[in-house]
Amino acid sequence: MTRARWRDLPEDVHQIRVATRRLITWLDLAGQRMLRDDLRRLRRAVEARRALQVLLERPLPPPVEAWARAQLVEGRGPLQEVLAAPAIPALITALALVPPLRLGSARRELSRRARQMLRRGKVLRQDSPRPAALHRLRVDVRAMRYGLEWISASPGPLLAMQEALGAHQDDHEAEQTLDHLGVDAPELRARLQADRAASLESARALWPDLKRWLRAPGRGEPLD
Amino acid sequence: MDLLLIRHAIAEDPHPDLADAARAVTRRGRKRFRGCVRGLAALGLRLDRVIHSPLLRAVQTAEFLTPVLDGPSELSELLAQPPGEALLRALQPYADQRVALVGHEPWLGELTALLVTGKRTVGANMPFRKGGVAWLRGDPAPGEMFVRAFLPPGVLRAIAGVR
Repeated sequence: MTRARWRDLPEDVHQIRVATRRLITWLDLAGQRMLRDDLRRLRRAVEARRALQVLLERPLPPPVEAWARAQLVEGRGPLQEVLAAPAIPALITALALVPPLRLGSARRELSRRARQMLRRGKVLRQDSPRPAALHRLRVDVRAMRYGLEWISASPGPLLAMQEALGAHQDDHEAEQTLDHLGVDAPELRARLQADRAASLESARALWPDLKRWLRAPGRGEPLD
Repeated sequence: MDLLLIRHAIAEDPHPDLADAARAVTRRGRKRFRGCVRGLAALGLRLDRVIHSPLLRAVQTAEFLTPVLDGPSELSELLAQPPGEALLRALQPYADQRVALVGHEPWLGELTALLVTGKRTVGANMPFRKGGVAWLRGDPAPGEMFVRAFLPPGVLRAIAGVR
């Protein structure tokens, strides 16, 4: 976090975002409400920055690239303030003191999430699923994966699904940025739409195996 | 603003092998404070926000307030030190809300004294038992709040019909 404050490396910002998500999942498995909102605020502080960094990883029309870079410059100060606040070391201290996870409650929460994912996964059967619904499924998949990793269980096919849905969401957000800026860029839009379609097909292809895996009895953990 | 100052629930005794920050609420503390929360609920007290110290016993006590919490929670290191201007400034954005602060003695007593009388030094006259609540109303500024009620834990549990 110190490096993100002083050097603003994309990887550091990414790791902060991932860390907050993993910790929120841990709190969910522990059935704990406190500290979750603090982590969400920290995640929101870095999210916009990370989204811009992801956007700049692809070739962009010059006006879009210039806008994104300017946003990064403008956002650096506010993010530094957030990371420098005394609440951050206090939050880290508080998180370090939370008692260990109880496997029973973690498994119950993971079972609940598995059922939720099975319901939300039906969106993949739709001809034109809404990006927001696919994003919600992606959030479920990611949280499930983090939850299983916390209890040292294999995430199975979740990672591949997370990557497929993640690629879809990144392309959707890039298109939304073009819309927001009023930029035409027909070649880029065509590429984004083709990539989104391919990601969606990947997710659809992965879903049957993931469903079977979620429902498999007697696997031992976490869904017994 | 309605400000509920709440001392953390009964926690493990200090011990040379246990960092103060890591002292957890005991089983007895959990049971008794849950009774206090039922007392708050019986009084119709819902919270818009809870702000708590980072020490484990305060985090856990704040967690027990979840049944009466309608809004977000927030950790503040300002509740693990003597109260001052920074804490009062931090409360200003919530001036139209009902907020609970979960913290520690003697600082909660000092904060109560500061908000009600303008003088922190008479905090010793406002002792908090563990799980006790001071309900203040007014502007979160020195001398600008009045005591709506001082609710020791036994009174809250009695309100809830819990021993």
